[in-house]
Amino acid sequence: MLQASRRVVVRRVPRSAVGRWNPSRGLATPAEPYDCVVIGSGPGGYVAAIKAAQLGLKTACIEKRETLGGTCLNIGCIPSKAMLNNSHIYHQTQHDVARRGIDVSGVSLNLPVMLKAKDDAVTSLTRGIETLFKMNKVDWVKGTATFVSPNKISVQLNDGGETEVEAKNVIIATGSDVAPFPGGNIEIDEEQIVSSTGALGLKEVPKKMVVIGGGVIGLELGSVWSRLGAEVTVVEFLGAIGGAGIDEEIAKQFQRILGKQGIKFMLNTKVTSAEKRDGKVYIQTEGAKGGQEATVDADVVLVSVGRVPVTAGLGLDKIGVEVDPRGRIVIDDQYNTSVAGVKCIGDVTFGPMLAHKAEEEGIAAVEYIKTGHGHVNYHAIPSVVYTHPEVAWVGKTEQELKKAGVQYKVGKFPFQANSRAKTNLDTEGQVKFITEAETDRILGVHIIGPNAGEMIAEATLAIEYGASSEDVARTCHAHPTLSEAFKEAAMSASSKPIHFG
Amino acid sequence: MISRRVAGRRDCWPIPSSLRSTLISASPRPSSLSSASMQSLRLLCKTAAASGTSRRWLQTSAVRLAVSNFQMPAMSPTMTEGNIASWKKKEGEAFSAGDVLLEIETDKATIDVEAQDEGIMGKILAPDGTKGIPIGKTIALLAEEGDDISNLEPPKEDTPPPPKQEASSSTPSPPQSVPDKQDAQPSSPPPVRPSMHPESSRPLFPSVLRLLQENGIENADKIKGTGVRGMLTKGDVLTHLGKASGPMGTYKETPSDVVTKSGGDQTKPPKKEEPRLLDGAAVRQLIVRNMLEASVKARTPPAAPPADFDSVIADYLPPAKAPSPRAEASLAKPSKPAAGYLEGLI
Repeated sequence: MLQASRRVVVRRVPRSAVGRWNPSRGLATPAEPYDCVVIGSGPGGYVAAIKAAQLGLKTACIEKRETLGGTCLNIGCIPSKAMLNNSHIYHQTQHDVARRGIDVSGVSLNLPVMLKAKDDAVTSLTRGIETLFKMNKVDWVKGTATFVSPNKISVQLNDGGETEVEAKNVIIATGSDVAPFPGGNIEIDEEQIVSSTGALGLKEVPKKMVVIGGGVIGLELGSVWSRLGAEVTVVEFLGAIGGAGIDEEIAKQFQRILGKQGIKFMLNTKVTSAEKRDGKVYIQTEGAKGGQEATVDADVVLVSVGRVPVTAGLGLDKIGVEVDPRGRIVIDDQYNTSVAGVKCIGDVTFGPMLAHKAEEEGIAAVEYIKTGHGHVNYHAIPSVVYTHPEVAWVGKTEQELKKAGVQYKVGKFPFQANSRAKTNLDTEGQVKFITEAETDRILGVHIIGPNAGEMIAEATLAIEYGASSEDVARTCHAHPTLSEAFKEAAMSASSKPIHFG
Repeated sequence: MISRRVAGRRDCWPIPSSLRSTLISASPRPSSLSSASMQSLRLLCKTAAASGTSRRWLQTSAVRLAVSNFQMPAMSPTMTEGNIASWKKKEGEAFSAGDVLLEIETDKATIDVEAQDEGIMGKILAPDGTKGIPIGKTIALLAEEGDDISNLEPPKEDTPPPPKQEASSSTPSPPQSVPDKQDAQPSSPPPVRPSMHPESSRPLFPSVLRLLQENGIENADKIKGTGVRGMLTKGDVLTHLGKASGPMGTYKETPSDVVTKSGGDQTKPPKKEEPRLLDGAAVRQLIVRNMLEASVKARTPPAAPPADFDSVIADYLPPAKAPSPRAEASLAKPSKPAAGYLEGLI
């Protein structure tokens, strides 16, 4: 193919010199094929594209949304964090600052402004990526991609028309979308029955809100509206909240803390149907193992039962890319799909659906293209729930280790005993280290508490380097900081903490 | 002659003057030191370490307090002795970290030795031109600013020089161990062990360094590291010492979800082929493979543009039609069924 197009170029020159019209050469194919074309500009896709360009590959990124950044920047991580932060400040101002000696009266919510602040954050960040694309000379093809052949992609442009992009390497990074309610008997209308997308832009604070699914997304958005005044009930099919990979002990503590904040929980409960009546939604539930039927009414229902990979319209069957029964694209350990020259990263393939995991994969996939080597350590991928207090973990849980028959030690340190947490009047939570009993190697770290999301970075680094809890305990941590709780938990795993027990 | 700059290391760490008085006053009767004053001593020491320019700790002997021995550094792993070319600092002259103290001639090169800390050149014991000084022999006494250096005496060679100096330009110096562990008692009885700096070509974790020092392992490179790029983990050393069943103990690292679920190698050709008996099946397979190889070669368009009719006319055809359907077909076809085979071949 490469040779063919090169030939065309050579021949076109004399022809255009004569001034003859060439019907076959419109905007169709550029003279040179791209070295790398990324489909999708989410955190996996845009990072891959920029990295590819930085490594000297001629790169294009195909995105159908009018802004770059994918779900994460437009309707996911970023806007939800804006809402979480601002709703937290509102809630603090209402309920917390008085005991700190700050009297504020007439605190009221201006929801349109809060939503606009969120939108502004999104706009500035998505623009930022556009700038990065320009700086790194990544071409943004604005449209919907369909494979014509493994190295030729036809793009239905947003502005109308169609173009064809030729690439030596293609990276599929199309991400995921909100999963519909299993069984399909609850239809998302984004008004009364909303997905995470709708829940980020409710026009008014609902009186009563039901969240179906007590995973990360449900708890974060449930927190937002609960802080803004909604009465929130979380209905979860499983016996614990927090989603996959959370440590049971932490999950229980988490539920207790959120319960104190006013969120109600219905665990081991299955939602069977939802009915819209007189401006309200009535939800039928029953026990997960049958029995105990109940009806819950709500003004707004948030369906957050997971996400599913997006592959529709890509034409994968046309080029023979293998997809597993759950719709995920099958890859090998170098992100190759079943078709040579086509790689795949992020939510659309295996593994946890996390933006940072996709980023790592994006970089690794590009490095495989350029150098043949890449690196993602799937044992050291942190997870964070951005509620207040935050919950964060990396590595193994106690349950996993028990199941695998591993001898382990646990070291804990409560923020109640941490000086900085005390001064901040924010002492809920703890740091929990799980280490291998013989070697003291850190196998997992679970944090619930203020700033857990930032603190988990240190745990991830420790696990990445195969450190022991003694190593962390012997590393100097600034005083007074919350990170001292991290160090003391490490101390309590390897020896004894100074400030507790 | 090559000239390198190497930071020299002092084996003994001067005590900040603020502390010294405490120490001296306490030294006659060490046993009477109350735990509270010990605490404050440690604390002072800690503060000094935190605010000071470098890592220094309390190592005291009855003979010298602030004065430290400056020993012949090992400039290369093979060096056993060296000559002093010239001293760049005179007795009594102050220097700060990074200043060149002296030039040392080794078997290979003349090397500048830099000061690691600030201080004063107290007494030069081996003058310019001294030859064949073994590594570890004290060649000068260094003092702190404000010290009285008029009555410095060369040390009696009672404290043996540390078994081996680790200062070599290629090996990054491992972090010093935490001072608390060292005896802070001014005149504690014998077990004042000279600080040991285990040799390693890689940075050492604090836990690893402690284990190496506690167990007197001088060369860390002898232990196999299972950490990132071969770094030693605590588990590696414990295994080496027979205190753990393996570098990861009872934990078995399972392949990550992502790789297992993907069914890994299904889509990829096997990396290495086992030698096989050349029986009928194997011969047939060889033949097939050769044929396939030849067929791929035949199907791949040659370097020169093929002069067939289709490709010549392709450019003149309306845009709806792909430029060269043949080329496309030949690319699309092998991808699916033969992707596995072809990957290694093309």
